[in-house]
Amino acid sequence: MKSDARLLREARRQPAAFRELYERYADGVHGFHLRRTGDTDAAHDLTAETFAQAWLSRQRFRDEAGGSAGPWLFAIARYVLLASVRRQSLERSACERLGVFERLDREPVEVEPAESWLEGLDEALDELPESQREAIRLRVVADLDYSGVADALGTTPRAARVRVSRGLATLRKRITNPLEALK
Amino acid sequence: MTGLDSSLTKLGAALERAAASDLDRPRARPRRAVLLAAAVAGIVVLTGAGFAAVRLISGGDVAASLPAGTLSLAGTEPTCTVVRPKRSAIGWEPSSRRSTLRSM
Repeated sequence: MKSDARLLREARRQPAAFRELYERYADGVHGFHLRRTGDTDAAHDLTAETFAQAWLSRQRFRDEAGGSAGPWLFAIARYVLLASVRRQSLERSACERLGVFERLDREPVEVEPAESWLEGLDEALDELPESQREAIRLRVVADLDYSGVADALGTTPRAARVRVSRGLATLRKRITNPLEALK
Repeated sequence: MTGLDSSLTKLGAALERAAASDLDRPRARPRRAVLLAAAVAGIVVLTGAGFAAVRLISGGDVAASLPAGTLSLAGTEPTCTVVRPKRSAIGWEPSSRRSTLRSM
């Protein structure tokens, strides 16, 4: 079976490869959004936006989790959720750019995001070891490259990359399957 | 093909079609005309700068740049005279400058 990383490389020129990646993660990403929104339609549109964003940024994917795109995809899902709550409307910029709703032959849903959607989101981050939490914050939130993260943490870029990778992998497990993360 | 429910399967198909269209979309690329215009603009700027540099060097500047420390010039005040090129029988003679020394 091809790794996610390989599918994303192939997806630079082949939409079918991206579809294969979608098939692997659609249920998980949809479940992530459904648990937070409690709204089937909103979760569906947020899932669409998550994968549309992933398509548009697929060339920026870096294999930092042993070939898995899970941490990367759930980081995008988290961003889409946060952006929606902050803007008080569902994030759909990537779907609009790609014309996803026209192809679904329907209008996007009108749902007002609630602050409660974010409950449990940051707790998972808070439970990470401090070094991993700070590395993720610098890399994902502050958008520093690994040299910048390493400088801020007083370590090497390689070690910074490992911290981010491990932290994201743990986050993904806790967000998608809290019981598995306790193992 | 998958175990996804029908709505997620439809979404996957829609995303794949959207992705295919996105790949077919022409990308903005540098055009030759733009590159040519940039090259011409660069030449004009460089030429203008060179011309300005030549015009800004006055006879006084040249005089001031003469090696004041040279012993043979001690006790003199160097000045410059610009000699215009003359047309000779065989064409333009190279321009030259002649410095004169004026005793103090």
